[in-house]
Amino acid sequence: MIELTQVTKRYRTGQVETTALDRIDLQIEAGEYVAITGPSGCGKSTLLGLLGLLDVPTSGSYRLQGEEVAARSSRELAAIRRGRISFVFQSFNLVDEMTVHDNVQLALRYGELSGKAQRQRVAEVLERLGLSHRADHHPSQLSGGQQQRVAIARAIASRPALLLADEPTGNLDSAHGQEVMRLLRELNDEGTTLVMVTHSAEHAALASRGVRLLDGRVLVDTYADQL
Amino acid sequence: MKALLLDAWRGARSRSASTFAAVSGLMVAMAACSIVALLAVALAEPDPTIADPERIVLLDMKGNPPGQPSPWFTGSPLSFGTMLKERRVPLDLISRTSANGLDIDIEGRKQSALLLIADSDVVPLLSLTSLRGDLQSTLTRRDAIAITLDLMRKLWGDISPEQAIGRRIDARGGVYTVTAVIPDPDPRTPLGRANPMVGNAWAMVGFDSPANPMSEQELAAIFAINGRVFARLRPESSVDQVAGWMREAFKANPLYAQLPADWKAGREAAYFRGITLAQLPFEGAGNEQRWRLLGTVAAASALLLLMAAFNCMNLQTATLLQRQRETALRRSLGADGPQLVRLWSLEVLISLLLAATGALLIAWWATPAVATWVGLPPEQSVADPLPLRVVLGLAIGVLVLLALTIALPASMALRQPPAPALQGRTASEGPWGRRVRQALLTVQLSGVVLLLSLAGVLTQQQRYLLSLDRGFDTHNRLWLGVMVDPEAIPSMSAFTAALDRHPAIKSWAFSNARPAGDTEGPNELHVSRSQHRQVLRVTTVSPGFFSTYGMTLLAGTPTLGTGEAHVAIDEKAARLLGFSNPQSAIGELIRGGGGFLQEGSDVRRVVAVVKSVKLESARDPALPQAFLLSDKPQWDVTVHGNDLTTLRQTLDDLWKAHGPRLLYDIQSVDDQLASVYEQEQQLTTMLTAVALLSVGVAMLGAYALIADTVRRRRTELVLRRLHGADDVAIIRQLGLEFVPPLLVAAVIGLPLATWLGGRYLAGFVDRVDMGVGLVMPLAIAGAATLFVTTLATLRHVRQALAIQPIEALQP
Repeated sequence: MIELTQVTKRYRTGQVETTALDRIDLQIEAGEYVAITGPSGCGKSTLLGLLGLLDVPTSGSYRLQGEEVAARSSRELAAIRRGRISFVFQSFNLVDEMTVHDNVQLALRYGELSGKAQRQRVAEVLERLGLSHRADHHPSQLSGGQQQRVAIARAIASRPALLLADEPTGNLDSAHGQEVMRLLRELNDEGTTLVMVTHSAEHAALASRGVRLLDGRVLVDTYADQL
Repeated sequence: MKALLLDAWRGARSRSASTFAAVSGLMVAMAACSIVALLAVALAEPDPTIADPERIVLLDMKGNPPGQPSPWFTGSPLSFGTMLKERRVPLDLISRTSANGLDIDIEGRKQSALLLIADSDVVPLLSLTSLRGDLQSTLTRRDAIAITLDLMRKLWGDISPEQAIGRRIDARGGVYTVTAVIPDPDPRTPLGRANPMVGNAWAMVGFDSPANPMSEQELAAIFAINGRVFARLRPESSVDQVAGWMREAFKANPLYAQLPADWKAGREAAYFRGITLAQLPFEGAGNEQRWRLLGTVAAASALLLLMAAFNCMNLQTATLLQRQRETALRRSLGADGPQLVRLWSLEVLISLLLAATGALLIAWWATPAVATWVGLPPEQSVADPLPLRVVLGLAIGVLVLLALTIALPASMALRQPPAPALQGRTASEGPWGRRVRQALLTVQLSGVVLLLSLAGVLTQQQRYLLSLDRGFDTHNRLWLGVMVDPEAIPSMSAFTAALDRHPAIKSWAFSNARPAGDTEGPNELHVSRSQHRQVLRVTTVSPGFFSTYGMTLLAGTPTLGTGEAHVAIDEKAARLLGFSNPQSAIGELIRGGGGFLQEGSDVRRVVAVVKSVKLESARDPALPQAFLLSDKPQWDVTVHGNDLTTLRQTLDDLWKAHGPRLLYDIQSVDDQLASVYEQEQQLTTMLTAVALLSVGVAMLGAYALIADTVRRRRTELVLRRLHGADDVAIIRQLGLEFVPPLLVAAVIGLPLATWLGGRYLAGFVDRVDMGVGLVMPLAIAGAATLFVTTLATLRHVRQALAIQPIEALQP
């Protein structure tokens, strides 16, 4: 599904050039559950941004579902991303002024679905995540765990093939963290390809594959059955 | 307190950009208000040399003949002075004054002056003083005359008042001895208005002086406004009683019985009132129009100030939201609500005081020029020193603005709990904050729509007024006017012969009025052979007048008669006098020359009919016109040529070479026409200036809203981008924020502008077509408001479009 070849990402700030990712080779098959770990500044979030087509590599090749996407414009990337890739964030990124329902529906606004179909889809995912009774609430009226469940609901509303999660349990207590991990596992079991950045070794161990980064390079790439 | 002040000063300085934006908007608005206030104070102030102006009354009258109601004149027949004295009403020092012209013969030339004829009691009544000599006794002597310093210098150069006493003045066939030299009059004196051609060259004599041209009959008239009568109210009397005393005196006068019966049958032939000198600056047609102008500009400036205050409130709200962590820290260190409010108030107060100081400086610098522009005499001090009441008014304004600016943002900031902010989590003000901001912008945009629309309506009407077809042409024509007693206009044959010969002059004419500039003139009742009675406005002109002004002759030829008076009338007059067509009027005799609405016995033969001419202002209906033909020299000479610059030089040269030695002035006839609508032009210019300032202020408001929107909705915009929103979708999202304010502004501003613009246009008989004059300005104002709003939002829209979805991954 994903094939990165010699991908490098450099940032320039004034006269200083920083290499965030250095000639990375990585293949991820459909249905995999990959945990990306590593110390702060090793390039995890940069890699996630590239995988999610939120950024483009400085050099190298990125093929998504067989299609080369490394040198596309931001408009083309948005079109490729729409409906195929979703995100779950550490800080939830919910819009305070919108209700839970509207936050979830936001993911469908720019797709092909009609308004009625969008509302139906939102109702389905909220039902699935046990949030139907909170549909008219605002994020500030929910607990952290509930907020992250709304974020997951938004992420899966468009039925993406690839779900990228950036420290999804980072702002949650252990009980809520476990619940979120269970949900992600379920989604992966249903066939969604899942790539998760995490600091937690415990949560990384739940993945089927672990990629450890150091200084922008892949240090370790192991499958659960190899551990 | 010192620490608090320093803290506030540091706070205001650290937010220099927002402080600057708030200060500059407020400063401009406060300056506009201050200038209007200074002009109002200057206009409202009576002559400061007069003691106790609240107890000195001026008698006022307005005629009410059937179908011919007149305005208040701020004057009355002089006979009321005599009548009220005889009736022993509780008034002291009753004094009559009347203004006239005086041509003084000196060293072979004529020096023109304003002649003020007055009773001697006017001296103590109006606190008049002399530099040398005794003014009061001068006004009681037949051979004595008082002169102003200005006239003294014009007559004899740089001599002292002492040297002027005893000198002789030769004028109007008599010789008068200067027995008093008086200071130049204050521009606000109620005695008379300075003529631009004579300036402060005034002379004063008593009513018994041979220099007084008024006959006994004129002095006794009860229905002719021929001067002013002043008096001091006794302590037990009030100004409201004056009308009753005047009415009783009027009806008791034997001349009242001679007034036409239909003027009196079941109605009042005239109305009366007393006005104090403190009220006088607000009365009279000219003053009323000037106050209307000032009132309109004051309302517009107040709206501008409100709009600027809204910006200040907006910026303050945004600033306090950004300072949640600092506020929380101060609270954690023990600061309570009142202490924080005190700090914030001081910060705002610093901005407001900076704005007020800047505004006063601008007002002090700009008001004299604006005052001169609106017609106040340059010698009248309007801003030096700044009147205390204007400074106090501004100080009160600052306090009101402080309360208005700080109340909402402070109450909102104090509601935020400090703990989350200390943990790095800051709260937004919620949806109501956005609604308040939108509401404030709505008021600002409504103001812009209203002011731009009105400025447009006024501009269109002004353009229409200056291009209106009045039946004569004003381009490439110059007027030369002389200051001289109309009864003693010297021969100008050498001058007119030179005009005839000069190739640069196509035609020229004499007239006793300026068609483009004199919107009022003498009216006489005329009766035709078919007994049609019609009041015609009468102007005396030379035969070349019609070709000089490009009037269209419909029938006959304007020629002089031998032994009989010839008259040209316009088409409207011909119709109203019962002639079926212009040709049928030619050769007919009409009778005129009577008094106001009274039949005369002068027989005039109609020798020409011209296309209808309008000499009246666009505010009044056109009167039917009669032009008495005469080859006698008149006050006004008009010349027509091809090139105005050459024409001006030629006219000046010819007058200097061949004209009599009289004070003269040259103006273009276009300028005379423009001067008729000078106040309208001033209102248009001032309103346009305030409208443009309001655009700037509203742009700041729109800028604040979009900046706040992009800041507040950044996460949402990032997520929209993340889920595939393109540029159009992002712009639509931001645009939606401005749709309600723009729509509501249109709903409020456009009908209000339609109503006010309609009211303004209704004041004119001749007004621009509604489509061009009202609908088009409104449409342009709406489009301009949309455009400037878009312009103000451009920077932040571009910022929003540059938002990258990867921001979602950043903490």
